[in-house]
Amino acid sequence: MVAGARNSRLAAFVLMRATAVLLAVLVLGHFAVTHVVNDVASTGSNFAIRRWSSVLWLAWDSTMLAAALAHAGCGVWLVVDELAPAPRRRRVLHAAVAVVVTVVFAVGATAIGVTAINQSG
Amino acid sequence: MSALQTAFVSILSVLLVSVVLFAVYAVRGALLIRSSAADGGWIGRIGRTRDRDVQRWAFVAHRVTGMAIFAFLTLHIFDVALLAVSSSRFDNVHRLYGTAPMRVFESLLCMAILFHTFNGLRLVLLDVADVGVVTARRLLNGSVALTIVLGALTSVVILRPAI
Repeated sequence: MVAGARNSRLAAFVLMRATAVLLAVLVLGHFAVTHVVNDVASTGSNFAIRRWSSVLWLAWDSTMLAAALAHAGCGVWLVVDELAPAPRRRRVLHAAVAVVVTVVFAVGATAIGVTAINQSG
Repeated sequence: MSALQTAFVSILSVLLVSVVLFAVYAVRGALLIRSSAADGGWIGRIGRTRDRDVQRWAFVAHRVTGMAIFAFLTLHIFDVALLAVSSSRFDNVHRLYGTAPMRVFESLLCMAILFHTFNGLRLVLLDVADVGVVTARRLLNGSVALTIVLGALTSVVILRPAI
């Protein structure tokens, strides 16, 4: 294996574990707030807008968005490695993973940004 | 149902079916490995222990729950993004989350998240510390137990308004 590939594997390995620990707190916290502390029926737009007027929750949700997509992207990338050994097919599937993760991240980040700006303006 | 609600329910259904198909595929793969080990006579059985079988099922469960959570996450990011378009559209789709079928889905999602979290933390621990096979197995049992207990308690909280 060439050094570049080895470094990117190591980077993916570390990223996977670092985001895992981060997400254990962020996702369980998110689920607890939206389903246990509050009933899900009472977490409509008023709740979401009020939450995103706080810097803490903006930071929480932005970090969770980035960490979750990095974690999921790495995870599905490895699943493709195992399930699609043919190089051509694997390249296509890897590209699909990268596109989905990038688009979903862009949508999520835009949503948080636009909502925050709408509220402050 | 509004067009947005229909779209949400349709996409969620497609994602659910895809995850079930993926689960069947993953379980079949694990069973094939098991049976090929069993067919190999005593040589085939050398590497096969009960513990390895259990670890393999933990691996399958981790992978399936991971895919399921990611599938829902993609849809969830889109439905939350409606907030940037208009509050009324966001609320229109969000009302679905309070319905009885969605509350059942949320309880299952909670179970998947809990298992993936506890088993995932266990895997991180196994990577950084050499705790040995017995402890690894106990930690897996603990992950499953925590998932069942916390999952049941949370499900009661989630489902109660619908009953």
